[in-house]
Amino acid sequence: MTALALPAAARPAPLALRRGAMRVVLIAAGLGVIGLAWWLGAAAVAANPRTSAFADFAPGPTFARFWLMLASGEAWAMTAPSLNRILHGLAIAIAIGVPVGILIGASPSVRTATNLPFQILRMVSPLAWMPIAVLAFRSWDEAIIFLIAVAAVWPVLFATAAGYRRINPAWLRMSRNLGARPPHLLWFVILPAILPDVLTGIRLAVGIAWVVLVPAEFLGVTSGLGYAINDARDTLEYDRLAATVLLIGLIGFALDLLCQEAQARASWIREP
Amino acid sequence: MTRRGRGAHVQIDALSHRYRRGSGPVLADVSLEIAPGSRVALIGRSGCGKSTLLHLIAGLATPTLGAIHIDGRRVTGPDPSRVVMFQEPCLLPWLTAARNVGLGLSFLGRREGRKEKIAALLDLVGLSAFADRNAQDLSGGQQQRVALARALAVEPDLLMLDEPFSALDALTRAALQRDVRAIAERLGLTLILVTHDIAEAVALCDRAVVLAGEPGRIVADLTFDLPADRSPLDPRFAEARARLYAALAGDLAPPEAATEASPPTPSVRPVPVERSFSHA
Repeated sequence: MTALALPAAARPAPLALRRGAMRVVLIAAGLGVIGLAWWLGAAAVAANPRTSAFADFAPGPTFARFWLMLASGEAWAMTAPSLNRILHGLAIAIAIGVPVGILIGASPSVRTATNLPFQILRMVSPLAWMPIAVLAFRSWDEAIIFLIAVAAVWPVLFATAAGYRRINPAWLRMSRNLGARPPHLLWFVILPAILPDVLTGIRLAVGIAWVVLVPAEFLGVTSGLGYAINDARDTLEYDRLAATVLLIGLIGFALDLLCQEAQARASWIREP
Repeated sequence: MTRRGRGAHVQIDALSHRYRRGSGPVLADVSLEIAPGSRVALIGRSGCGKSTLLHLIAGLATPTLGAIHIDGRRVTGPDPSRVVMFQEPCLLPWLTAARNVGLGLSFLGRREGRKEKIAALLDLVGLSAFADRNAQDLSGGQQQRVALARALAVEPDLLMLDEPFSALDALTRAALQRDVRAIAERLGLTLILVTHDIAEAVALCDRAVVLAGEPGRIVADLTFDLPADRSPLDPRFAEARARLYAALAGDLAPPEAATEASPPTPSVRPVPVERSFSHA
């Protein structure tokens, strides 16, 4: 009975607080375990005389170098060209994937005709196009952007085509009845209806493009995160190599968070 | 809202329709004239072609034979001057109530006075307090009210209702029927209601055209002279309902009787479509 006498708002708060504290503990534990594994691995490498030359990839030297890279602007200098390539590649993937996806979604014949070739092309690793990209494009930059676009176009295209199913045919009929012409249908009905799915596709595409970026930047260019990895290996700076790996992971994570935020803001679909 | 428009004048001549070549006809030799500003119910059981007739008038389909003229112009496609309210409200779920109301204005590129117009229409359908609410957070009745305001926003001459209240509870339905009738009367719109609900036809309309058979034909045409408030407690309301029921019951008779132009029940007097409306 005393519990009932408490103000209603006072009771859930400690529970939420306890859940929040539990979350922080779990996150810290996860990071702690991976940090410990890293530290133990590095200690084992340092202890072995045959591998002790690589000992600099341990957490200590890595973080020291990471702060140095951030402070000197080196981190930004290697990231900016990579982001630039990613954005160009994604822009091309969206410019191709969304219209083609709408066409596939709207027309069963287009869907049937394109299904087989697209399913086969989709399974080809983007890096397999590397020799062709090098032949086809004049600059290394263009070749890398092409590889990113090839990797990113499929998730955007397939998610758009799947999103077309969300369009209630009655919306189109109602709109035509109110005087809508085809461009109106596209802008006011089709695009907003499929936007949540397009963003899901873009988020997947960002993930794949970011993974493809580093090996693609092993190609000819002298800038970007992939180049920085290669360069650190060649100069035997293993702390720089590990710090760059850390940077790649953190930026990829941040890009995904951005996509997630955009998805949350744009989605009109109510979870049941 | 100041516009007291003359409603559309609808003329349907010898209309027959089949969905596709080779399939059976759904409508056969339908001729009908609807006076400007009048309110007409197309009533009949499922499959009599009443909804098809409405879609043909709306221009959402093209008749196989015959023609439909509205204010002297032949119907060849959909037009915002004649708007259908469907059974489903069909609101766009990513927009607020106000933005749904403004949808037709966006299609027509009408920008000036848009805000005021949307506010006035939401007020007219009694939803001023819900302007900024997402369409998904409105009740079924509220959604149909938004659909009504959306239809009125493009200033149609003809409002067509395709069983728009059938998914609503009885009280919500009654309130919407009363409001739609009052609004159509105030704006001088021609109203065509497709329904299988006798009480709804009498509550909303002054005339009922009964369709029956396969393919559907007009088997009776009744007018009601009732006071504007359409109180179901009025004995004249009950009388009109009984007349309409009798006309519809003719369709329950054996097929050879049902295909006759005049239903067998003696209490029903089909009204010939002989009135002509000058709209010059």
